[in-house]
Amino acid sequence: MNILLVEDDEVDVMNVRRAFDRNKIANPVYVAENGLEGLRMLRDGTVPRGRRLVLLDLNMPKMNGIEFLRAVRQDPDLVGLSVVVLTTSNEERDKVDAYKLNVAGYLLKPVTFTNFVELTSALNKYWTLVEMP
Amino acid sequence: MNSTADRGERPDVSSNASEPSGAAVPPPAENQLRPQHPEDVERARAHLHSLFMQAPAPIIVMRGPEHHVELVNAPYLRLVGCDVRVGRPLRETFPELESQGIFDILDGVYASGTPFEGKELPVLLRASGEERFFNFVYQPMRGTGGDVEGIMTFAYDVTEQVRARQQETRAAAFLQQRQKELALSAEMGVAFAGALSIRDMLHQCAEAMVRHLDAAFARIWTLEEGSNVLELQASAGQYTHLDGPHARVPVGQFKIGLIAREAKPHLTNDVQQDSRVGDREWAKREGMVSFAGYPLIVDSKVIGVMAMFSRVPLKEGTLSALNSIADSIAVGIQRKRAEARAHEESETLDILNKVGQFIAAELDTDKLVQAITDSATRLTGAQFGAFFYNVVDDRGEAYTLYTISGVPREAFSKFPMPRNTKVFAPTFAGEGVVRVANIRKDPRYGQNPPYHGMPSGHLPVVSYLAVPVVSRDGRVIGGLFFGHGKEGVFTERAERLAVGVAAQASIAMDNASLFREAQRLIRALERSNQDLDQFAYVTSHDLKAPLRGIANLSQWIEEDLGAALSADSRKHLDLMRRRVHRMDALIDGILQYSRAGRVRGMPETLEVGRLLQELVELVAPRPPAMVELQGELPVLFTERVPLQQVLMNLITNALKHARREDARVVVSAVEDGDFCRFTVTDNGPGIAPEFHERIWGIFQTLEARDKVEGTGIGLAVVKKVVESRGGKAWVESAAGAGARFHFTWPMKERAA
Repeated sequence: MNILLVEDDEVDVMNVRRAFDRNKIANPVYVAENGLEGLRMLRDGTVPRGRRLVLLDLNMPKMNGIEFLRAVRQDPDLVGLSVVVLTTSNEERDKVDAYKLNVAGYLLKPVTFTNFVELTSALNKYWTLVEMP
Repeated sequence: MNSTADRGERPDVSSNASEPSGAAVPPPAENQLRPQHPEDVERARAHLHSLFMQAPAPIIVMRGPEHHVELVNAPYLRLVGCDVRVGRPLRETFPELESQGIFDILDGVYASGTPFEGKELPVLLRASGEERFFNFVYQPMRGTGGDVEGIMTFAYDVTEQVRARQQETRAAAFLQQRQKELALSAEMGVAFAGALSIRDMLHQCAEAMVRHLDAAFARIWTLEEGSNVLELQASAGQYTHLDGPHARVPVGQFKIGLIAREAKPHLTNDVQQDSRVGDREWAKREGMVSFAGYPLIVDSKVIGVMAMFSRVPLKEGTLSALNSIADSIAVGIQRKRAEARAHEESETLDILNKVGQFIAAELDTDKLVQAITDSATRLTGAQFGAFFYNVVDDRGEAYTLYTISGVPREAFSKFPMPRNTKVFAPTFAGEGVVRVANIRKDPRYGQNPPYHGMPSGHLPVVSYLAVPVVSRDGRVIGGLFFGHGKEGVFTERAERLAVGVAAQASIAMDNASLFREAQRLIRALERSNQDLDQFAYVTSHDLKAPLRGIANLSQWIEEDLGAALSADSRKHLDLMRRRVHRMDALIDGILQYSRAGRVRGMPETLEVGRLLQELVELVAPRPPAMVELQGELPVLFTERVPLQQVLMNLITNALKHARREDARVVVSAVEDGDFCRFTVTDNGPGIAPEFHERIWGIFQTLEARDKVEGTGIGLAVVKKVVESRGGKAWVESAAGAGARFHFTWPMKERAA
């Protein structure tokens, strides 16, 4: 399972990496700074094809998370891609838009690192289940 | 006189002979006297003379062809009232009888020997000075040879009887006349009292005149106030048509117009010679004898003329009847006019109301102005109407055509806009209404080059009506213009209606522009709300992200340094993170407040008791703190989430600010009219009155944030949400005595 983290905030990237470390999650993590970059990395194989999971922030420069999702669902190669939204936006509108675009989850970023570690642990359990044959 | 007696063929005389009355005496006396001696004869004559003289009946005996008076008795002298010269011809005594045919009769009796009996013969005697009536007998007296020698007259004055009978006849005629008059006025009364139009009423009056006053035909004209033309309203009898040359008679012209101008009746019993009768040939042909025309006058104003022709002379009674008829018709017209005006007034108001309702509902200015123009054109009876905007060009001349009614727009499009001419200026200056029967005859008309009037091919305007449309602030928005090809079409009523519509129009146009303004504001508000949403969104993301970063980084520093970190630094990092959380809470507060009361969902039936129970479970006060529901709680029809938010804020506020373990919060709700009044009471320290206003402001807290963690947003949200529902929120409290927060909430919300 290769993980693509689409996130423009450096601290948030560090946050994810630290939480993975803390949970001993060893999956490879690729980082894109915005939607455009994320799409490129998915299409050109930077993120190896096969089992892939996207952790997606919504509010980003150039191409935001919703726009990224729209492009993914319109691309026949990516239409079945697993995407989990990881955002600070508690907006009803964002949640509705995201679920319409068939996301696997919509998670609010916790303010404290401790909570984030717990969230990451839950995520790990989720994709372990998903990966099971 | 002897000779007369022996004829014996006159029964009236001979029959009288047996009666003791004086008149009966002479003939039998003669008969008895005939065979006597001259002395006897003389004696008999003297006797007879004395009998004649004593007879109570007036007797005169004349002799010879010149009717020399031979004998006259006292009753006769009393009868004629003057002295009669005996021995002289009767003519000398009564020269006045010469022209009355009396002597012709006497001469005839003398010549023919045939007695004459007169009955109720009128005779005018100098002495009495008046005409008196007599019954008399001229009895020829024959001599012994059988020739007529004289005439004996017996006369009786029957004047009193004749007069009495005449009076009786006159009285009967008078009575008949009065009956006619009564019948006439009864019919008129019916005509006036009925719910008839003026025209129908006058028609009945004219017919009554024909029926009861021997009129060949009768006509009635009316004169409108301010008009100079009498209009034929009724014609009955021989002619019944209302058109033709008599239909409209200018005041002062013809006999009818003259009656109106002079305000005096014109009466004649000699139509065929009357200089005022226009067609005397016709009068002769039709056998018209008399004419009576009366002005109809009320309050010394002529409001019409009634007239009749008749084939019989006008009698005294007819004239007096006509006089009073004229009065009652005039009053009748006046009353009908007043009634019609009142009716018209209410009808006008009704129409204006309807028009007003219709145009008030229209907020699209184009449609509105068209509706105004259409209805005003219809109401005024104009052939065409137009509304012009009061927009003057650089030269101060042109106006802009806005709408037109009654003719296609093309009818006007060929022509330049009306200019600031003398005809149009008063309207666009808002000076008042211009109503002209014939604009082409108006002094203001045709003064401007190049057309000097209407350009050729222009709609044929003769009747002209123009009304300014003035807005509430006194600005002249424009003018309503009406035209008609015929003269004098626009009545005072049309003017009133046009003015009414113009008033409605200006209000409706003001409303329409207010509506546009309101729409603009609403759109601006919607935009600003969208901006606010955007702001909230940006806030939640962009302001929170760095905060989270700070929190994370501080924690990683703490973790990474581990034991190397001093206790102070560790505490500082903790304080830093707490402020980060506070900032986070403040941002949430701003979002919450900005959304409070703005997002509307669907109302539902809501049991307040159940809602509160759920809330209490959610809040889960830590014992011994408790929340208690008091009394019977009502059922509302309202949106759930906002009410829940308000109650939640108040309950958590109460628990938080009680600052004691055994905090006790009591919630109650009672129905109060259209609203439900909620009360949340706590046993906390209370709030000093000087802070009762302040607590409702956003980010207002009464405690240092380090002591009680609060954003100061809860009550501000409560107030905003409650007020957005039309309710209000307030607090009752004294320092140290707990606090009672009240708010009202609608029992029944309308579905959004």
